[in-house]
Formats: sequence, C-alpha cells, structure tokens
Amino acid sequence: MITFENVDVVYPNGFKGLDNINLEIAQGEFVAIIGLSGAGKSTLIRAVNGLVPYTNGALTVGETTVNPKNKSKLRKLRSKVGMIFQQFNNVGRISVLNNVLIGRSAVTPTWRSLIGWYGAEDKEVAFQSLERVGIVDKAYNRASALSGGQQQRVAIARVLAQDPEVILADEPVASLDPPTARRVLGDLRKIQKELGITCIVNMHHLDLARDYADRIIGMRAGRVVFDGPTEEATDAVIEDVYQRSLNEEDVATSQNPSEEPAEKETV
Amino acid sequence: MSYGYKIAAALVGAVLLAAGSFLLTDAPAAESSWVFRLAMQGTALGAAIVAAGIAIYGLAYLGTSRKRAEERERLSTSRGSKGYSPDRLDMRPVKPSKFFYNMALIFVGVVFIGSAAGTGIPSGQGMSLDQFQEMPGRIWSYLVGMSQGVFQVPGEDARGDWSTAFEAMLESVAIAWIGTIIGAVLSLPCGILAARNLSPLALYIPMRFILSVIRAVPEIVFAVALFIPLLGVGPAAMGGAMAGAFALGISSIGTLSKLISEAIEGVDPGPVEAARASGATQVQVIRWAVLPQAMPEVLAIWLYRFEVNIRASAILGALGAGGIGRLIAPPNGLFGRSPYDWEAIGITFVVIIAITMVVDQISGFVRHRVIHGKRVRQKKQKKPGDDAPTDGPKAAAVPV
Amino acid sequence: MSSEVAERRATVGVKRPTGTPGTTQQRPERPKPPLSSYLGLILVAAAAFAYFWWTREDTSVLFLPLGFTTLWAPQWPLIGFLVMLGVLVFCWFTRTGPMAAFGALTVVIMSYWAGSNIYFIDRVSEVLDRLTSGNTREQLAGYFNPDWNYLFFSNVTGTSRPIWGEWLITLCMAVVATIIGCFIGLLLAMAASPVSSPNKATSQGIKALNSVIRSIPDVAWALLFAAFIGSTAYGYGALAAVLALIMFNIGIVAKLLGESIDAVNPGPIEASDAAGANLLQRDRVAVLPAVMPSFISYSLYVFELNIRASAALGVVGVAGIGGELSRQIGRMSQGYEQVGAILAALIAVVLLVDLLSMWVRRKLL
Repeated sequence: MITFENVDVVYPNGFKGLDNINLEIAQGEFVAIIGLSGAGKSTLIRAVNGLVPYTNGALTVGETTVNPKNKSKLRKLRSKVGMIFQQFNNVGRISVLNNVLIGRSAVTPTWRSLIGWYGAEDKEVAFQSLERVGIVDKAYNRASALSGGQQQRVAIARVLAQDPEVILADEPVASLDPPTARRVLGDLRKIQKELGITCIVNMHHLDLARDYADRIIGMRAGRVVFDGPTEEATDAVIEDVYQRSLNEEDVATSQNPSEEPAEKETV
Repeated sequence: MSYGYKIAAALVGAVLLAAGSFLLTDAPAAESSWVFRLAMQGTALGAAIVAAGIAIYGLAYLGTSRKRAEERERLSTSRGSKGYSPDRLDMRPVKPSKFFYNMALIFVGVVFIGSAAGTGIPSGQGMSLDQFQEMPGRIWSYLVGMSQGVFQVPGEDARGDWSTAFEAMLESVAIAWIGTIIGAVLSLPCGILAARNLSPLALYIPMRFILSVIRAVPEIVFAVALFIPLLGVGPAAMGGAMAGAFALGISSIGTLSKLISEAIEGVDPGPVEAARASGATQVQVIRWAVLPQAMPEVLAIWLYRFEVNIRASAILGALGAGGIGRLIAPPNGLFGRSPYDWEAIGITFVVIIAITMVVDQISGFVRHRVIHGKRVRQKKQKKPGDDAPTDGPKAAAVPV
Repeated sequence: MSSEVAERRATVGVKRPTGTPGTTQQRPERPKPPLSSYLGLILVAAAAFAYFWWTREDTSVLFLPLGFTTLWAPQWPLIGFLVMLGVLVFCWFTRTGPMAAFGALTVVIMSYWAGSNIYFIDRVSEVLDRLTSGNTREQLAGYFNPDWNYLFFSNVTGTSRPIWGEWLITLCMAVVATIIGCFIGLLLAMAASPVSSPNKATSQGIKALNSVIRSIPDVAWALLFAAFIGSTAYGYGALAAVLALIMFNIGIVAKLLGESIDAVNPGPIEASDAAGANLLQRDRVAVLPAVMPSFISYSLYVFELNIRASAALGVVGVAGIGGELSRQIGRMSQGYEQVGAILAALIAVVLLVDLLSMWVRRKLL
C-alpha cells in the first residue's frame, strides 16, 4: 500500500529529517511509530501526504507516486489520505458539521465551499462520519465549545468524511488525558478495522502502541531502528530505540483499569 | 416557528419595507431633498427585489416539500448499503435557525442599495455621461503626466519641484512629531484617568465622555475651527504649521488615551494588588505596579500614532495648516490654476509616499524592538517532532 | 548557644544600624551602563548642537563674561544642548541602558528640530494677543452658542437642498464606501498575507500596493478622483468622495486585517491542506472564519471613521455635510453659530454610531 524506497528528507536549514527509509506498509495495517522527540516520526508521516516534501528516493501510496512538486496531483492524493493532528486543528469558530465538511473539500466544487452551500450528499457523508465517532448530537455546536476528546473525534470524523484509504495520525492522543486517549484510540482502531483503512500513528505512549497496533516501527535520528509486529517489540528492543532504560512514565498505564485490555505487559 | 412561517414573515416584512419606502418617495421631505427621494427609491427597489427573491424561494420550498421528504427517506435507507446502520437516527440534531442572522444580512444589502441610490451616483447626479466616457482618456493622460514628472531627468524646474516637495514634507513630519509629543504628554494622565481599574467612577465617566467627544471631531476641523484662528494660517512662518501641530496633538489625545487606558486595564492585577496590600499610595501603585507593565505597549501606541499623524499632517496643508498638503490642494496644486502642473503633482505624491513608507519602516522597527526586546526578528522554523507549538509573544494590539 | 542564635536572628531579621559587612555576603552593586557609550551619546548631542547652530534662523546670542574673556553661544541651540545634556545626566544617574538613553536623546533632538521648523516658541507667545484682540474670542463663543434653527430648517446656501439632506448623503456615502471598501480590503488582505496568498510574488506585490494606497491621505485621493472625473473643485457630486473613502478604507482594512491573518492559527490551515482543499477552499474554511470577528469590528470602526472623514473631505468641496461645514467656516466672520451647530451635530452623530457599533459588536461576537 505505502512504500518507502530510500526516502530522504532534508530540511531547508540542512537538518536531515529522514535518512534512507525503506518501508512497506500493507493495506489495512495499523502501524504505530515510536521514538523520542525529534526522531523523525512526524516527518515520516508528513512525507506520506506531501506536507513535508521528500528530497530523495521514491514514495508511493497505492498506485500513485507522491510528487511534492505537482500541486494538483498532491491534492488528489491528499483527498485519499486523511490526517489527524495532536492539536486537533479544528476551526474553532465554525460548527462541528462545517469542520467535518472541510474533509469533503476535494470532492466539493470550489464555489460550493466558497458560499458554504454543501450538497445533500456531502452533508449525509458528514453526518454518517459524525455518527461513527458518536458525537452527532453536537453537529451544530461550535467546535471550540467541545472538550479535547470530542474535538479529536471531530477531527477523526473530518478525516472519515474524506472516505480515506490511509489515515495518518500525528500524536493523536498526546493532548488528551489517559482514559479519553484510550477511548479515542479504541474508536480509531475499531473504525479502521471496519473500513479496512491503513493507519499510521505516531505515539509517545508505549503501552498504547502495544495495545492497539499491529506493527511497531521504532525511529531514531531519522532512521528506522526497529520494525516488526507488536509481539516482537519487547522492552529490550524499545530500550534500544530510546537509547535509555524504560521508566514508569514510558509505560504509564491509564487511570481506569476497567477499560484496559486483558493482557498487558508490565515492567 | 417553522421554516415555512419564517419565510412568510420575511416576505411580509420585505413587502412592507418596499411599500413603505415607495410611499415615502412622495413625502414632502422627498420634494425638498433629492437625496431622500433617491434613497427611498433605491430602498424600495432593493426591498422589492428581496421580496421577489423570498417569494420565489418560498414557492420552491412549497413545491418541493414532497421531494425533500423522499430525498430524506432515500438517504436514510441508502446508508444501510454501506454496511453501517446507525440505530440512533433520532440523535441527529435539528439545524439551528439562522433566520435573524440571514435577515440582518439581507437588511444590510437593502440598506446598501438604498444608500448607493441616495448618493446619486447610479442616477448620474453630479456627472454627465460625456464626462464618464472621457474619464479613461483623462486618467491616462494625467497618469502619464505624473510619471513624466517623476521619471524624467530632473531639469531646473523639476529639481525645484523635488526640493519644494521635500521641504514641505519635512515640515509635515515636524508637525506630526510635535502633534505626537503634545498628544503623548497629555494622553498618559488622561489614559490613567480613563482606566477603570485605577480611577474612581466620578472621574472615569466624564473622562470617557470627553475622550469620545474629542475622537468624534476630525483633526482637520480642529485645525480650521479652533487652531487656525488661534495660531495663524499659511506656511510655517505664518503659524499654519503650529495650528496643524496643535490640531493633531489635541485630536491624538482621544485615540491615544483610549488605547492607553485599554493597555492599563489589561495589566496583570497581581502586582497592583500586592502594591496596595503593602500600603502604597495611588501614585506609588501607578509608578511601580502599573507603568512598568504597561510602558512598552504605551510607547508602541505613541509611535503608532506618529505614523497616523504623518498621514493626517500630509493633508492639513490643504486648509492652510502647514505641510505638504498645500502643494496638492488649491490654489497651488489641483484645482488651483488650470491646467494643472501634473509633473509637480506627481513628484509631490511620490515624496509623500516615500517619506511615509520610510517613517513607517523606522517606527515599525522601533515598535518591534520596544515590545519584543533585543531579540532579533527570527523566522519560526517549526521542526516537526517538536513539542506543541508555543504561542509567540503577544504583539501589541494597536488599531489605527 | 542561645546567644549565638539570638545574634544570628538579629543579623537576619532586624537590620542593625552598624552592620558588620565582613560576615554577611557582599551586596551586589547596581550595574552601571558602559561609560564609552555615554561618551558617544554626548558626541551625538554635540553634533546635534552644531547642526542646530548651523541652521538657526534666530540670531539671538547668550554671553558668559569670564573676566579675561567672554564666551558666547547662540541662545536656542545652547538651551537645546543643555536640555540634551540634562537628559543624559538623568539617564546616567538612573542607570538607564545606552539604547534607552539614545532613544530619549533622539526624542529631544527630534522635538527641537520639529519645534524650530514650525516656529513653536514664536507662535505660542502670540496666542494671548490673538485671544484678547480681533474676533477670535467671538468665534470661540459662537461655537458654544449653536444655531439649531439653521441646522434643522435651513437650506444649503444658494441652493434649495436642506441641511438634513446633506447629512443623509453623508451617511449614504459612508455606508457605500464602507461596504465596498471593506470587501475589497478583505480580498487584498487575503492576497497580501503569506498565509493565504497563492505565492510569494503575489503577496509581496499586493503588500507594496497596500502601503502605497495607505500612504496617500484621503483628501489627496478625493482631489485626485475629482480631477479624474473632470469636475471643478467646488460642487461636484458624491462619486469622488465615495471613491476616495473606498481607497481610504481599503488601506486601513488591508493593513489591520493583514495582521490578523498573519497571526491566524496555522493548525486548521494544515488540516484543510491535508484534506486536499485547494487555495480558495482553504482560505474560505480555515482563514476566513478565524478572522471574521476582527473583520466585523474593523468594518464598524471604518464606518465611524468614514463619517468623520467625510467632514474632512468636505473642505475640498465634495458632497455631504463637510462641504457645508467648510462653506460656513469660509464665511469667516458670520458663520460661527452655524459651524458650532454642525460640529455639535457631528459629535452627536459620531457618538451615536459609536454606540450602535458597540451594540452590534456585542450582539455578533
């Protein structure tokens, strides 16, 4: 589905974001990327939809090659690749429904979005996305009036409205409290399984990655240093990724044990 | 009130407005003032258009009610085909009405049409069709004249024009500076008195009222009505420049004090409370708890006013209050002796634009320095993978 | 032991008048600004003194007899120089940093230059004469005795148009100019901000255009448009005024709104990019809602400015109340009561508009 072949990213200031990445991510996989801050997790994710242009190598999503130079092709690609952000990135002053309709931008004619008159089909898709994430009752509230967890659900609904093949999530739960984080991530996992969407998620929390991901990729200094199914990601491996021993915080468990899956490794 | 009733109410309102304004075109007021007559005609026209639009929309709404119901049915059943059937269809909220919002927008539209008609421009008051047809050619020839003046190799005449314009503009800058100094000196106490957290109500309310009155009078009226009689008229040596400077100074007080009072109201109340708690007098509180917090912003506000005053001072000369305005206004510039000296006027405009922009740049730099300190202006290069984006330092909110 | 504690308490808690500095820590000195930079500043002041001496027009001189010889210096430049030195000395003793001291010195130098350029002292000393003689006093008294009858019932001199009609056309012009100008200003601000413009060249170009539009004052625009339209200076229609006000509004809105757009939260913009929106869609859904409140309040503010500005535009002869105002001012010795009435009405109208816009702002935001 997504292939990285010798992909490099060099920022204009000379900083090397990604260094010779080779990856193959299959359709319907839920991949968690772990690593310290600045290891290149976000760069990897943003390279997929061209928000960060890669400078070398080949990167393909499905059949299409990501071409950061070609704006219109990039837009077409982005319409199939949804993205969720740490700060939700909702427009605070407009309604939740309009926020979700932003996800329909690629298929809506420009004049329709300019006067804000979306077609019935688009609205139906938006409502169904909101129903999937379970906040349809807030459809006409202002996005800024919602709590953090609800805002992230709006963001997920916005991505679902794109009818995506791939969802990229950049630290989707880092600004949420642990129980909410688990619930949001669980929802994302469920929807991803139902619709067969490929999912790449950046994570800070090791335990969340272990609980929800099919596959874990560890990154350090712009390189992939670990790649394997979740079961193989033992503490020793993770310590190698982090280059230090794990502490309580890395595996911090949620405050609400009833919500946790039955099996959980403890350190 | 259901949607259909709202449409009906809007229709009735639009028809009433149209009818009322149409009747008013025959009122005695319309006899004496063509502005009123035209404005009412325009309003009637606009309201009639709106009424027609609402009527068509309402008919369409009535006619498609069955279709809409079917559509809703179709969409709600089609969702099953996607393999997902929510059992909570009723949870979907009803779209909140934006009826009054939309009505207000339409009303603004009608007011716009009425006002546009009232100015007499669409009906050709004040200019004939011939004039209108000649306009592009005239504009072109004037622009050519102006650019010839600016771009030619300066001969004897043009050099004189350049130096006259520069001297007059420097005089404008001097007027603006003195005006700003006068305004700054007076605005600080006024601003403190107009800040709710520092001054008692008995001072606050009259101060606010005085400031609003000052802000209501344009500086040009201050100059003509008050300071030209007091200080003289004409070029700088005759006192016109002083009249301009004082007019700018007094009218600066209004805006400056308002902005300063807002800056003072925005200071952190903690230190003020702490100073009060340790027994400081009001003056001590202002000196040691309020001013240290508010001073950078106050300085930025003063500098900003200097920029505004430069623009204002450039026109004061049009009335004999000194500065470069006298070169573009009658009797020396436009509408003075005909044919106008477009080359000199072009040079004057270029000098105004250039000096204004230079002063803007300098003042902008100093303001940035005052607010943000020594730190060099740096482009935020957001490195992905960093922590959450931190908000930069708050820029001084200085409207004009 | 107990005496030791008591002694320590005494050193810490209550300051003894004859403290023993040897045992306590050295107190830090207040940092002094570098002397060399202050010497530089004195040089700057001296240079300014020399320049003012060079360019002075007033030739009065101060003498300082010293017995063996007599020193002399030009009067006003010397006073200015002494003030500059005084400011520097004050800054030195308050330990002000060199940059701030330089700022203070610049303010003094600029004020001296500007004041001498506009003959500040000469003019101020004449004010009392003018107040006591001539008709200035009558004029000022006239302002406080406005002629209401004139305001409500009389016609514009020489025509059959009533005065209230001039108010109406002023309001009409303000409404039309505000709506058109703010709309164009919004578009220009969008095109000028690097956040929302298609490319860097566009944004730089539009920015330059904006600052040119903004640096030409409204009266100059009115004169320019009047010439373009081809009417005579006095008594043309509203078109020149409306066009001038539109340009004036474009400048203000584009500047203020451009700053708001620059400061817009980049998150939603990135999100709409990631959703595959094109430029127009992105600006509409992610930028416009974020700046809408400031746009509305700037528009209301601009409406208020327009009413004031149309009074100013009147002096060059465009339609509206300003034309009548300048006509009455031009009558010099007779129109004071009328001018007073118009000014009072102007203040009332602007205050009303202020209240109205405050109400709208509270309702909308």
